[in-house]
Amino acid sequence: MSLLALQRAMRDEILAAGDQAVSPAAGMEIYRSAYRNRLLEALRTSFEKTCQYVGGEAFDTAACHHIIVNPPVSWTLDDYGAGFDLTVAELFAEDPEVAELAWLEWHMQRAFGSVDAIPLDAARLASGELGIADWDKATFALVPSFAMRTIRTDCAALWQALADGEVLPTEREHPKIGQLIVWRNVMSPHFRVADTIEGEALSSIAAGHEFGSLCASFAESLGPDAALSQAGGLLVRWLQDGLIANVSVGGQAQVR
Amino acid sequence: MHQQIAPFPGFGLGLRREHYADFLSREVPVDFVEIISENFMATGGRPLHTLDAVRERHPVAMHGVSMSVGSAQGLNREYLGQLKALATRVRPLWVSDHLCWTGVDSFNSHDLLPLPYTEEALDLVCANIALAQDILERPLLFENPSSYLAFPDADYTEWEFLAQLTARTGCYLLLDVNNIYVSGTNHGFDPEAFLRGIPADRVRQIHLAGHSQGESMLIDTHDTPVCEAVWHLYRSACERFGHAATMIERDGAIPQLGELLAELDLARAVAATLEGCPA
Repeated sequence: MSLLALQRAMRDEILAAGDQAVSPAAGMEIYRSAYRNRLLEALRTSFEKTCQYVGGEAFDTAACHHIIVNPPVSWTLDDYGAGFDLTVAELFAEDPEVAELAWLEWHMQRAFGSVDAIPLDAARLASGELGIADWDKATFALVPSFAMRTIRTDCAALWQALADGEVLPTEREHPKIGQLIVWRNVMSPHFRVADTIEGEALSSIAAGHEFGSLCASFAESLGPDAALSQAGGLLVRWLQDGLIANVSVGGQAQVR
Repeated sequence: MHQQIAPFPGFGLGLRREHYADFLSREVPVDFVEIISENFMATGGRPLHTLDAVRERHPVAMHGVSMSVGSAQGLNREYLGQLKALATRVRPLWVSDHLCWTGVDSFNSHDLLPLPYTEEALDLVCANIALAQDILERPLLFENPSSYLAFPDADYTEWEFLAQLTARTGCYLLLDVNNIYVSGTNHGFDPEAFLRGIPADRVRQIHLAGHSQGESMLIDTHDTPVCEAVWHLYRSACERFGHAATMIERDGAIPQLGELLAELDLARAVAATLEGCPA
């Protein structure tokens, strides 16, 4: 048997469910169970609050399902929690708060160790080369840790309550549809819920659209004066939050 | 040819999250620390800044688990690029990984899977090591993993295979004395014969760790203190490789730093009793 054939055979043995295992070797069982235990532990560590919310037994059942359906493909175990929110969305379909909590927990963890970026503040923006005539053509780069998703539950409050060790009321009201955003400002991960207007604006900025097009879209619904005020207000908020990494005009960064 | 790696006869610990505050707030009496490379690759934020701060106080050895130098399908060049970027930032004593494979096709087991010590595997691992050393522009160290499977068609013993790797690629070795003991017990070879078969001038680091008794085999768990039998074997290793750096490796049930420093003092004491060994 070639080395490649042997490695594929061992992979199949590791992935085989207990009753499908071919090799009777005790050593193979050690590798098989170590594989599952390692992934289970990685998920428990990444989704501590989700586990706390649904209970250990239900969490482990979901995690084992995820491990069977999603064998790891990245070289780093740190990536293994990606997509676990989709697994729990299927398995806890009656409680959408679980998937939204898992998404938040995962992205807070990713933000903690994401690549560095110095967020732009108003002073640095003012010190740059952006002239008044450039604003229409300006595009903004968000910090690399930025992530956003639509939410239909109060998962942000749930995350905070679990972090604070508070007892959760069994019946809780859920907010209207909103956008949950996660990012890291210098060293600290943050999250907050944005309304639909801000969510659409952030989507536009993240897609690389120019500031002028954002103002134009606001002008259609609000009129030109209110549009400028709305866009300017959001930009100030994003700068205060540490969401903006740089501003460019024609592909040229305006702040060094 | 790559540059040589000079011996660094010191005593160190693995840098683990549980001890970050200790390393940042006071002088910890170690000669070096070892990091798990993958924990700091393609990342930023507090983990990497903590490493930068520790690096200002202590030399750092980089130890990886994902190179998969035994992969029949070759190496992941993107991974190697990120490893090189970290090495450029850290300027480590050396970069090490394991003699193993971790996955095939797109699958990654995140385990150190065993290789058959055959001619085919030797040719392939040597080619992979040569490529990795070229990309990283430095010689690498490779560690003997604990294993729970043996392959009857092997052409070499594990120590013969390691010796061949060093001769053919110029790589160095990180000997895990606990792994020698665990594999020797599981597969019935003499750990002392293993040590005798290793080219002494290629050993740059020694790992010491604890293991657990499984149902039918010893398991390399790294969650207990070093046992008496491994200390005994370490003494033999020091007699042969006294110029090598020694490290206590604890990955589970991680105790207070003081407990690991006391265990490291035991290693210092063993080495100090031997002529020509670091103390």
